[in-house]
Amino acid sequence: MIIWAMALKDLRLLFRDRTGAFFTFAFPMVFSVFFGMVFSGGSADDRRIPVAVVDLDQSPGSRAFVSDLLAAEEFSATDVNSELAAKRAADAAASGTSAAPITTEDLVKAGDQRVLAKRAAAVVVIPKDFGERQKALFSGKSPEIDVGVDPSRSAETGMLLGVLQKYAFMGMARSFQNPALGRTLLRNSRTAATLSGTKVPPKVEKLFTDLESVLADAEKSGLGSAPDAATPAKPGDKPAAAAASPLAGFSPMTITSRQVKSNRAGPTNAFAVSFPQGIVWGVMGAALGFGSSLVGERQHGTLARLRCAPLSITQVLLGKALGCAITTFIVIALLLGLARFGFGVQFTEPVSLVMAIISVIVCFVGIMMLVAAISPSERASGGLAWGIMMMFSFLGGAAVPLFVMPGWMQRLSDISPMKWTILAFEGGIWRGTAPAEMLLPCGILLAIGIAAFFGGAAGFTRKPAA
Amino acid sequence: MLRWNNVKKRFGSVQAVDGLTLEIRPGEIFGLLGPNGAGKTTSISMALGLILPDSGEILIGPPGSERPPSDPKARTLLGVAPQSLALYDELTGRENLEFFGSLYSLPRATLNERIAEALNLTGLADRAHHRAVGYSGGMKRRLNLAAAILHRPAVLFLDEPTAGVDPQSRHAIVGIVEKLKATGTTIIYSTHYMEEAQKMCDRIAIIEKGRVLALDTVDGLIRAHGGSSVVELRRAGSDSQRIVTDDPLTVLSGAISGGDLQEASVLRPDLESVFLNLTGRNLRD
Repeated sequence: MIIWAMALKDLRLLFRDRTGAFFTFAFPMVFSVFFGMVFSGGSADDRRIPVAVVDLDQSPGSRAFVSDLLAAEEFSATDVNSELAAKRAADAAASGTSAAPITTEDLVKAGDQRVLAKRAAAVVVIPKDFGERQKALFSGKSPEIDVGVDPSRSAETGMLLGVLQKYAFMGMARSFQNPALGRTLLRNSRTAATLSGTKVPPKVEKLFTDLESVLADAEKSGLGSAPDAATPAKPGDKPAAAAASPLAGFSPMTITSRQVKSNRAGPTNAFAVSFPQGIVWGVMGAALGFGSSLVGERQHGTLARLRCAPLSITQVLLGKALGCAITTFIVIALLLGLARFGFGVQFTEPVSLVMAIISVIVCFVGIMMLVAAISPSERASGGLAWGIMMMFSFLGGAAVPLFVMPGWMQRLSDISPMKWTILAFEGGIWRGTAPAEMLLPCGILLAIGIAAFFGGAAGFTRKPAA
Repeated sequence: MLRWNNVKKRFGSVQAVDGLTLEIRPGEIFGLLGPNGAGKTTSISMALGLILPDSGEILIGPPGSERPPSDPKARTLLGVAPQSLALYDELTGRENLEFFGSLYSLPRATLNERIAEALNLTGLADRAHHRAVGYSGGMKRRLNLAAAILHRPAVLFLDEPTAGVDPQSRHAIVGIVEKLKATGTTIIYSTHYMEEAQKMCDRIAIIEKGRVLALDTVDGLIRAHGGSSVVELRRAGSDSQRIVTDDPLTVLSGAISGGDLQEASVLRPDLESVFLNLTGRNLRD
């Protein structure tokens, strides 16, 4: 109860200190997101979603749909077919041989590769029967497309799918603006439904009849000589016909989505690398903040007052440790939540991740105690302790990823708890480190934490209370 | 209620407390007077369990169940309002009290009741939800005092409770102390203000170099160590005259009956003169 009261008081004080709260909670998020975007080449200013478009059908309908997407204001679309063809032609010209034929697999692979290389947020794959299905739209077999999405940009997936539906409606609307084309579409749909033995509901049957009648009248009066199906819609065209459709909930296109992930053991995206680094900054901020506040308790006389109460110095220190542990947990949970739900970071080994969380909390609570022991004053803890921690942070890969460091520096980084923190989190997030393999980084973190806690506590209690 | 028995404490070459023996009686306001470095703070710190004596013993509690200050049960009997304000500036007055009260494991309802009482007693009820950082010096002193009495300590240490506050706040704090005395709380009062000590304390110990030089009631100290009174007289056509006497009334009545007395004043000895006579210097030196 007393320990909880101590922790609650410290949490209140932390949240009242806006600067401290910023560096503990907000700064690590800003750091993680900023570096994640830098490493992934993304930019918050670019509002258009980069997509790759693969047309496996090459029918007039599919080409019209591709044209719509290439012209869409919401997308920065790349025609993978054209790009691959141009590349093959260039390769052939360079080698003096004839261009290798482009297979379906080549196209799909090229589209996926574009997503994996972070050059597109998604790849839209138009399958071979797209055009045929489009002609028989009301037969119950609407055209399908496959969308491969970058998991790190899952936030944009909803918008992406919505925009694709919009252009599907636009294509359908275009069909009905051309009465001849619309009547063909209806005729095909009826034939397909009859051949497949599908029982057409009376309401839909009536709709077919009404639409045929309207289109026949339009054809006779010479109205609706719309551009043909291959003409792209203008950007910004509104799917008014679709919106007025009596078939509420009807979708002119079935979209299936999947995640495009690399099979190699590596981060799913740049945020999987930047967030463990951000966590280091966050937990370090919490440890230094609480270490500094413990020094402040002694400096301002509140520690002496606490020790006049019927509680032991162990309870005082455990209260501070509990406050630090709760704050550290909140920091980690916020950052992991943001990584998972904001940036699509997948956690490959949840058990290992839990091990990492526990061991990092223990480690940094220990470091907090050590900071309190080595700092002669609050001001010193803001200078000396930060200096030491910053050195360990840079050495441990909290600023620059370890894998870009030279070999000797990577070996030297073994002395930094920040390195083991990053390794532990990376193990749970993207390295796929099994729980048994986590024993090394987690064991080192626990050992550092326990040693630092008891060493720090001994050093702190040796000093007078006031 | 509280006893120091031949307590000694040395810091390096400095003998801070040298065989201190004191006994504080229940319900009294006991003044500790002494210049800086006299050993007052060390003596109080040892009684609060913050530092351990080199020798001797300190016991707290009613006769028969006395305990050393290291015993948590003994510390439930003690309250302290230290000279350096021990408050959390970023917490409100009420939150400060909730926190300090929670250290004594009071039930929630009791704690709320005590907080309300303490806020009313110290006149801070209307500012209870404001952060302490915005309080005036006097308000902080009162909050410091309120935090010390939530658990209704049997012995309350007040270390310079009126230091650095305006006369109005000082008057308010003195009033609070008198109310606490009326509830039976034993108060150990350390101050530099002689007039305050003289007005409030039942008994006073004058400490110098870690030893008790004198211990008695205010009147007893003045009688024993204050020295004589001084009667100043001025008659028509002559210079003023200073007469040192143990019987100023007789001198004064003689001067009046002699006629032509224009002005007369009597300077009675006070604690300041007691302190001067005992230590050879003023308290604030």
